[in-house]
Amino acid sequence: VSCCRKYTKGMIPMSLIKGYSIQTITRSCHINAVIFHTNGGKNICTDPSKGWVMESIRKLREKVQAINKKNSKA
Amino acid sequence: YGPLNYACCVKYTRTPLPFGVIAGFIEQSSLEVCRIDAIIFITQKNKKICASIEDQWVRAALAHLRSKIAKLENKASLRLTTAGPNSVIQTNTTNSP
Repeated sequence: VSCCRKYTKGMIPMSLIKGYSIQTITRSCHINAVIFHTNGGKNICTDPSKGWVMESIRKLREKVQAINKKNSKA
Repeated sequence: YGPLNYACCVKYTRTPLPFGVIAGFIEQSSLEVCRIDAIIFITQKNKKICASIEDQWVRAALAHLRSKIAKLENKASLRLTTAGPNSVIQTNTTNSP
């Protein structure tokens, strides 16, 4: 499993983001990171201190909650 | 297989995952190429496990991930703050389901 070694510079459009994983500092992984998983199957390393990263995570949560509501009505 | 480079979930796991092994998740929507809604958990060893958002443990696991993210965010902002004796960093971690 490869680690993030640096962060992407740009922002990722919310429409491309399907999920995320958390990388914390370990012996082999040297930086904390949020790894976004995109529609195309790419994993993109982002900086947890960026506001847009946390905002994207909150929006992803809203998407998941919307799915839950839809399934509850079925 | 759809355009994604992993298979669609077609059924859900019956066994809840220990929260500690979960590194992240991907949401699968039935509005796109896959037939069912699912939460795909990604483990520390990069395995993918299909789960249903309707299961209580799944929502609890997602809440646990959010708390880990909140810790990461707090660590990140600590790094950027010039800490002095008067610095107070407020933590507003809401554990709403």
